[in-house]
Amino acid sequence: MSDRDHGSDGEIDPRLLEFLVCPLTKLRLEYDAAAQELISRAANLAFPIKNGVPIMTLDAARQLDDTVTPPRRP
Amino acid sequence: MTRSLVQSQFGANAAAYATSEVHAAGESLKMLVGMADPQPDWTGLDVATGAGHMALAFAPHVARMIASDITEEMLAETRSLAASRGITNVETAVASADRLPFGDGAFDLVCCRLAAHHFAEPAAFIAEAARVLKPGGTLALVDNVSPDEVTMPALSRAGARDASTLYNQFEKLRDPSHARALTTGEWVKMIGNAELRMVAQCVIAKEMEFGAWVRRMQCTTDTVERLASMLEHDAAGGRGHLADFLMPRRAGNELWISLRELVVVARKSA
Repeated sequence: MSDRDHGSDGEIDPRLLEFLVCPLTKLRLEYDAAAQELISRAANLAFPIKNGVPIMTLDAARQLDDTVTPPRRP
Repeated sequence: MTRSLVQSQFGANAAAYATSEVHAAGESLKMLVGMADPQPDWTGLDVATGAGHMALAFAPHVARMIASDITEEMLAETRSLAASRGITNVETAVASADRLPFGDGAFDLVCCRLAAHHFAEPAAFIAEAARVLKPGGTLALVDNVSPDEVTMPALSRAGARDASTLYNQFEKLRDPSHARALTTGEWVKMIGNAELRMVAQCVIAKEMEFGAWVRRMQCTTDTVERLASMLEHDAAGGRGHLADFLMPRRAGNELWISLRELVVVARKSA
């Protein structure tokens, strides 16, 4: 797959962000600017943003791991 | 990531679609813009935009367009084509047509041109299009259709079904990512099932030069021969009705066939 940037400025347009929801749950997404990901908490998925273009297909999404679960007490 | 047939086919041939005359300047492009009657305050979504021709045709008439496609490479073509025309109100997003990543009632317009025959589930796409449309919003659709007894009254129902099967085999041989060209009747029913009201519809013939048509998909010599033989066998009195539909004819060294495009505008109730 090509990494060439065809005129996109590399930042996702904030107006585009307003329109996007999770393709699975249709719920709102959290924008992680540092990781360049759109997080769907309900679906436990992170959708990548490449050169400002959100990749909203399920096969491109990263499964969020469960490291945030608090440790069990003995 | 596993790439679907559509992603592989169009990823490899993305640039060929940016320069394809059929896709860039086809009659149905202007016709659909005229029929949809776009308004300056509209936000539109072009599903399976390919090289972006439909999105860019609407862009000057509306506030903004979002162009989506399942193939990243096609969206790169869309952005460079927009930049070359000085169009700045088009954003791109990778999305699957049957699982749109947009909220309910987000758009005044959803359009889709010459793409739905690649969809595994066209009914899911129509349902998603209806969902993301605002009340009163417009669906504008163009796609290649296969024959039925309405569009080919000279054929019996069985003959039309045979022509439809053969035509889809013909398309799939040329382009493995072809799923199925529906009939006009199937589209009308599907659009009605999604509770969209048909505003206008027409079928137009599209004359294609066979050589250019197979070159765009970079068919092998073997595939081209098989396609040509399907046409010849049929025209020479084979059992099928493919030639009745495609009407192959020679002009000098060129072989021309006729495809059919259904052009539809439908509205969601206000």
